Amino acid sequence: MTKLAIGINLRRCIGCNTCAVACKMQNNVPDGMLWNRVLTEGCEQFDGAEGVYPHLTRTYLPLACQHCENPACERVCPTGATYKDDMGRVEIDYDKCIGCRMCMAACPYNARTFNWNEPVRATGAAYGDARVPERSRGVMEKCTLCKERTDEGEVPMCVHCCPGDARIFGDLDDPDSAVSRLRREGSAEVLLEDKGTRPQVFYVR
Amino acid sequence: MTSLMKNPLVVGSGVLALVGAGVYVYQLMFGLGITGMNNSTSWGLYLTCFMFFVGLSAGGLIVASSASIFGIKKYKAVALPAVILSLVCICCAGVCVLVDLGGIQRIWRMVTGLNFMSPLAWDMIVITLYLVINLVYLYFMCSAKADPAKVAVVSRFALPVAILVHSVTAWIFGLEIAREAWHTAILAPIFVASALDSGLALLVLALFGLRARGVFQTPNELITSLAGLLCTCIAVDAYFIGCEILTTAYNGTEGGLAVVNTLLFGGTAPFFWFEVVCGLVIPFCLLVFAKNRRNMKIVGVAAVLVVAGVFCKRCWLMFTGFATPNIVGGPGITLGSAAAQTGGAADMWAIMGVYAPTVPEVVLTVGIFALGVCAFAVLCQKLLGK
Amino acid sequence: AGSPAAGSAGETQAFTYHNEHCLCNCMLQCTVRDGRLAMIQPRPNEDHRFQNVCLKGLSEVQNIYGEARIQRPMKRVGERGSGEFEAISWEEAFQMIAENFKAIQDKYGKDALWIQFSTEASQRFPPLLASVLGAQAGGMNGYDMGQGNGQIMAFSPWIGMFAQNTIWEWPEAAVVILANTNLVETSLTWSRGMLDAQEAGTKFICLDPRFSPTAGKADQWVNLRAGTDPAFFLGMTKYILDEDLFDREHVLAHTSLPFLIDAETGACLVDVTPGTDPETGEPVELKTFYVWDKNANAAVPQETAGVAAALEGEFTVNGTRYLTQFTRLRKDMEPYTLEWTAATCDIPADLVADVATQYAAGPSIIDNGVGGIDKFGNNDVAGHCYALIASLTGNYGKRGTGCGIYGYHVTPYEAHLGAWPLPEGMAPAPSPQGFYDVVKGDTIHGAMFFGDIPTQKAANWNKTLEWIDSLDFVCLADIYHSSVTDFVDLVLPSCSKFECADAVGGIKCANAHILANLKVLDPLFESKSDFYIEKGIAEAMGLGDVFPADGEEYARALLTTDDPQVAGFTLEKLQEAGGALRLIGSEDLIAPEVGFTYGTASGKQEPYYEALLQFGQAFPAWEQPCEAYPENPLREKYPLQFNQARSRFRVHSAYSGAKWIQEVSEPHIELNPVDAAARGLEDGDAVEVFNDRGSFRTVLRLNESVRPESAFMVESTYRQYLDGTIMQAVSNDTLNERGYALPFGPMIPYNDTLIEIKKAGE
Ligand SMILES: Nc1nc2c(c(=O)[nH]1)N[C@H]1C(S)=C(S)[C@@H](COP(=O)(O)OP(=O)(O)OC[C@H]3O[C@@H](n4cnc5c(=O)[nH]c(N)nc54)[C@H](O)[C@@H]3O)O[C@H]1N2
Ligand SMILES: Nc1nc2c(c(=O)[nH]1)N[C@H]1C(S)=C(S)[C@@H](COP(=O)(O)OP(=O)(O)OC[C@H]3O[C@@H](n4cnc5c(=O)[nH]c(N)nc54)[C@H](O)[C@@H]3O)O[C@H]1N2
Ligand code: SF4
Ligand code: SF4
Ligand code: SF4
Ligand code: SF4
Ligand code: SF4
Ligand SMILES: [Mo]
Repeated sequence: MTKLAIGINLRRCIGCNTCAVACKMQNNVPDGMLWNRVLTEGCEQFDGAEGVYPHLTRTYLPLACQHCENPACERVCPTGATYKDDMGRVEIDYDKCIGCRMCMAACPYNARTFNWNEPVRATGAAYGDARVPERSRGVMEKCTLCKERTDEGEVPMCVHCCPGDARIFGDLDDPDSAVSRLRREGSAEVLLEDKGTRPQVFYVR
Repeated sequence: MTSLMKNPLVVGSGVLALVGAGVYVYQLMFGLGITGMNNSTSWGLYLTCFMFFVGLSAGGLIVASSASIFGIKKYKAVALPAVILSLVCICCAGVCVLVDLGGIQRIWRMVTGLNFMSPLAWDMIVITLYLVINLVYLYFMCSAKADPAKVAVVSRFALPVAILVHSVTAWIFGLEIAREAWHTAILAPIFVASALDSGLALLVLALFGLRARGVFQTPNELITSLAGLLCTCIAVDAYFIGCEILTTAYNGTEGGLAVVNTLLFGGTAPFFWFEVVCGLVIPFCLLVFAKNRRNMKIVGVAAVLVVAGVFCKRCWLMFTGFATPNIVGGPGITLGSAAAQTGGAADMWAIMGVYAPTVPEVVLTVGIFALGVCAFAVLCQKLLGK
Repeated sequence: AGSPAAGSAGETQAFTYHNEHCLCNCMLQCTVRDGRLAMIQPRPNEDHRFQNVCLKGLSEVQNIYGEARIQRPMKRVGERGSGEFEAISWEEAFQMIAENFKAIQDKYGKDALWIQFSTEASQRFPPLLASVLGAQAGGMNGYDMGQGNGQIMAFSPWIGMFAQNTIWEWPEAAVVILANTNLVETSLTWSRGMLDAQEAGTKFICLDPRFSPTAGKADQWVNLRAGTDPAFFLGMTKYILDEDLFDREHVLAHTSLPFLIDAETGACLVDVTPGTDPETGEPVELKTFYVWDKNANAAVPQETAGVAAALEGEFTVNGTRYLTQFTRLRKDMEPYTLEWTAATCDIPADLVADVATQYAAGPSIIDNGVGGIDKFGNNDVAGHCYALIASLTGNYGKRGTGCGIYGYHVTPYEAHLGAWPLPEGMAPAPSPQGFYDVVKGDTIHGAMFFGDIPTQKAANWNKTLEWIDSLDFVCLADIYHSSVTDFVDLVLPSCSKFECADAVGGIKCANAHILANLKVLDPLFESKSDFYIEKGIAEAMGLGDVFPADGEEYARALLTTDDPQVAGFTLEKLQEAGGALRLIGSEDLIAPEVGFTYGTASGKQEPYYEALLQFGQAFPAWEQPCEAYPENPLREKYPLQFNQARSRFRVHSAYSGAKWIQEVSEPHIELNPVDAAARGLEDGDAVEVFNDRGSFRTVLRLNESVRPESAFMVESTYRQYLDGTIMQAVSNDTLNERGYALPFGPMIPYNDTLIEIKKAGE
């Protein structure tokens, strides 16, 4: 089996937002939303900090779909539009999505974005990878783990572009993959472990 | 027909319903973006009203069916209006769900690819079942050969399905692991309890209304008795809420505290306190005295308060769930709303769940209520007037 | 690394290089679909260090079509600043320029015309226009060289602002002090150098009043008060001397510190003989310095064989009292106790001692940026301090040591490209003054800017505006509607980095590569590349034939060079290789060890600057910032120091209009919540920022990372995002006179600025 995953080394993440914009570009993500966003943990400002000056800490937390092994979103989706595929990715079949947003309420990571309106693009035209399907108004979307790229053995765009080399992509079922090696590092952890979603995206602190 | 057209309630609510329908067409053209919903708060007024209507509906039917199941004779008298009310409310609930769908044109996918793991799938099934039961019930009660035995059989199904429909609706929310405020085993009982009190209260109000219009006469004693039942239901409702808050707050977990803070002091606090004070404490204090229960004015006030209180409860239940994201970090969640599309960072992000219904959204919702009122008036005139 | 996406039908791949002024010069692979830029990726590179892109590069997919783009030539018709323009044709525009330029040059002389390119605008083909017209092309910068001014004299040769070695040497250091650099944003793609070294065990200590993104990544943060870096290093130096943490052997062998100086005047004891410079052949003074030989008990030339130089002491030579530089150093450093340092920098004393101890243990590097202290009046003192402390502790010369700018210093290689031959004598008029001084005078009567120079290269915007008003004619060529656009007479639309009329739009050497700006798109809207704008103007003035016929001809001229690093490089090869060829022999990105012989007068490290005796800065001495110091009475009116720095979201003002970037960050000013509360201000308030020089409006955000008693703002954005105002309106334009005596001239103290903030409209 294949279980595609991303490991993010937070020690190397400089919060540059390149992954966020790379994702937007690659996947033709419309204005007003991002599939992948970079947070500054535990505070209200991007580039803010936790604590009181000068006793401060800061961690950037890039956050997109965690491709959960036990996806809360998939279970609640009434039409089966959301599904876990055989490469271990959680995907959406846009043709089946009725826009009920059950999955959105179910996702503990706020990883999903909905086309509340007709998608608009400041460029006035579609951009990104031509293989990425279009989504219409009323349809849910989110990180696909760059399905169109990873299907062809390419790494996801966010990984390809990460200036910090903080993002590692690969197959968790292959114990020799870089991503498996990173996960074996003691400090690897998943977000909201208590929710039982068993994310396939993990973080090294 | 002409007599219906002379009924100002029917005409007024009919017009409002048509306006609502117009807004719905507008929504179909431009998308759910015309509402206040966004990526931080995936459901808004429509689904809040859905919860509310399901509750109202279940309450009515529970009264009607317990009349025949438990042979509570005096309730039989109001079974028919109760069933009509229940039917209308469940239809409104259905409409609420439908208008909330972003991709209604693909709704047939619910039939071809239904995922039985999804609470929404079950809700659809149960609500359909419930609707059918309501219709059958109504049919048996109104048909010329109304057969008390058959009515009794249907009501044996109706009661559990009514409880089920409300539980499944609760599970749409309660099974969402993501939402600390909803994720509780007693969400279904909480829903059922408030279904009972709001449904009963609405029934009382409906009966008052019918009486005032001379369509259907309900004796005061019966109302007084219903008021007694209402009082009990309020107490049960309050009890469940108390249990829930205590369990959430007691251990001071991070998520729990966030919920309690939002509820008691935060964004949903006005709704919470309104419901506690006006929807539970005051009506309970009013109705706990037998003397008050005999005063139709007081009963009416209490019933209004209960219905309003439960509406507020639906609001705080819904929005407390969205208030605090599990992962807090600046700049937050991308909203995906119309403002987010056109504006910059300031319009695109929210740290906490944000939501305010828009005018079209409110108008459409009012339209649904109006539709309910209109349908109820018409059905009562047609079915009770005889 | 991933392979480029498989191109589908109707798609082409093209290559260009990106910004210079974020100092990354990323090589980009661009996908064009249906004639539009659809996707950008890092160009695959065998050397992963050069396979780079950042969010700004990616945002170009949207930005080049964005609303801030200048689309056609426009003549101003309204008041300056009104933004009222009338579209005109290129022909009319060139005619208008030619007439005005001629009139000005005829009336006031050729050098009364000022033609300056912003750094970013000069990165395609080297500009020719100023040379062709004999106009002034801009003098000293007035920024980015302040600390360099303070370091250069100790360690010549010194490559301007840069350290002698590259960032890739960092894993060899035990400690790297990051001084006023926000590396992870301002050397974004080179952050890998820091992260790799950190993984390898190098400890990073970041000096920054603000908890910057880099401070957040560092192992230790020194939150000193802005403008007090010299005090911090002086305190460290005193502590190192007191605790005997300096490297005595190194000091004796490789520095000028044992040299004798006149106890009264501070002049070095020297013999001066005439000689010739081995490189230039010019006559120079050769100096022989003296030390006190403990064996001979006499002053002897420092190079005397077998000399046992005294490090400390006072001696009499020919009846005059002499000290060693080291003895003077001890005396000069006396005021800078830990307590004084702690109070001056507003940090705990033991933090100073701790950093000093770690630094002295070494091997250590000081990586200075050019933000922060570089934009304070006392910037050269800071640079001088680095040179001093590095010499004192042996942290210069050997592996894993050094000082200077490393952030953008990623290769020791620089190829010498060819040039376009201009007729004999065609050269820009000499510019005796930098723009910062030009705007205070009346020698210039007409100007053309490529990029938003007037709003960037001078502080105190209202004064600059007066100067602009005094000109007969001002023209701007820019890609975007930058702040200065509304104040000029004529606006010309330039091409972005993705557009050119020819197959090639630029050639340059960067990142150990020869890079080619190959055509990705035809010029958008009515834009022209700067090259064709220059050529068009020259043609209208009858000088067009001295220009290359087209981009290809220019490119070939540049590639015609005898530098062996580019032997055999042709335009065709660049096209085949996807717009970039690695310099021959540039495999090792770490330069050889710097070693211990220098081009200084004595050949040794010379942290004692005799030339600055008149300024009391022979050894660095504490000097307050010129405006933003705590005791300044002005602080009662304007209590906040205005910290301006760059961010990952912009390159100076560029990308202000990029919607994808606006989605994640918009212009705003930041205050610590304490200062906001004291003013009754809340997050999201519209505020006015002001002082006696001027004011501007923006939005307030609260951030714990900001040092109390200061405000933070990302330097520069277009005025349309500041409610029509300009941030530069408040910045300080007072120059430190000493700067004129230094190699790189005076620096504009942008950050040495006091302000106050209030709710807008109050
Ligand atoms: N993304 C991006 N990168 C760029 C540029 C850009 O515009 N955008 N511009 C390039 C250019 S031209 C330059 S000059 C460089 C500048 O890049 P840097 O050298 O990194 O300079 P800044 O970003 O101005 O400031 C660096 C840090 O100094 C801090 N600071 C402020 N005052 C003081 C002080 O008194 N002491 C100390 N120790 N720190 C202080 C600031 O808080 C800030 O975090 O960046 C280059 N790189
Ligand atoms: N208040 C304040 N002012 C400062 C600073 C500060 O910290 N505070 N920092 C100073 C520093 S360190 C620096 S280096 C300067 C940088 O200021 P600049 O030298 O002005 O910055 P650049 O990024 O080189 O140039 C940007 C301008 O060139 C335009 N441009 C970009 N590419 C092209 C092109 O190909 N053709 C043409 N015609 N135009 C182009 C852009 O649209 C923009 O108008 O700012 C200085 N000004
Ligand atoms: S691109 Fe890499 S370094 Fe930048 S924010 Fe994303 S994960 Fe962090
Ligand atoms: S992160 Fe959310 S959307 Fe993604 S698989 Fe998990 S539950 Fe589903
Ligand atoms: S919105 Fe679409 S994907 Fe999500 S649960 Fe509903 S049908 Fe499934
Ligand atoms: S894997 Fe692809 S879709 Fe997912 S965040 Fe990265 S770029 Fe976006
Ligand atoms: S702006 Fe970004 S992509 Fe462009 S050269 Fe700089 S670091 Fe590279
Ligand atoms: Mo700079």
